[in-house]
Amino acid sequence: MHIVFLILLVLFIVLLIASCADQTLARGLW
Amino acid sequence: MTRRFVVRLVLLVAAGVLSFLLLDPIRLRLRPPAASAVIVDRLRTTRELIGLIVEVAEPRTTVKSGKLGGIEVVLLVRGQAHLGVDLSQMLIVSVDETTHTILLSLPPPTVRIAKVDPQQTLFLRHQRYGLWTLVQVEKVDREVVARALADAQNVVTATGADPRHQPAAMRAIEQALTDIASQAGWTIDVYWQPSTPGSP
Repeated sequence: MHIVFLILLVLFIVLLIASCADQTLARGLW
Repeated sequence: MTRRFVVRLVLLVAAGVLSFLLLDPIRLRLRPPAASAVIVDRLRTTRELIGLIVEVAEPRTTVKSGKLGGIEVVLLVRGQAHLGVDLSQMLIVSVDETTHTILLSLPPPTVRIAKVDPQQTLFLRHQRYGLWTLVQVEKVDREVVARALADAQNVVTATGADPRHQPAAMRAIEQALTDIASQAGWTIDVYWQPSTPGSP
């Protein structure tokens, strides 16, 4: 049960970082 | 007796000719300028003539997207586009003194002024999609909003330059010119130059 929670947490953090990185990279590019 | 009479006659004729030669240029200068010249002068001093004010209310979508998501901003642009002619490009084709008609050649009306009304312009939608909904990087929002607002001016200009507004603008300008000329009892006919490619 804990391992599932941990995997989901890691996945969520990865998605947060990916979202942040994607937005930062897209800035200034049109 | 006869000789004195001849001398007097010659002197009299000479005086007459002299006075005519001297006074005629003055008389010409004092004569008021022709009505056509007054009208043309008035048109030349008028730099531009606005014929039509187009009220603009156009939605404009600005999208910023990355690999995983994006932002969509829909702006309802409101403003006014002033359609008119540049009278410095006016050509006088002919001035007919008998029919009191001036034929002018004018370039087609273009957008002279494009104004965005900031109080009436509003955001219809400001939405994130995809993974961009997870984290809100505000700098990206600001960038998209700034881009949308900067684009608003182009929207007003482009809407005003729509060819469907041309006939109304032309009619209004012709009417304005007719009003100017009719005060002096003249009429103005306009020949509209074909729009040159590349110009708005």
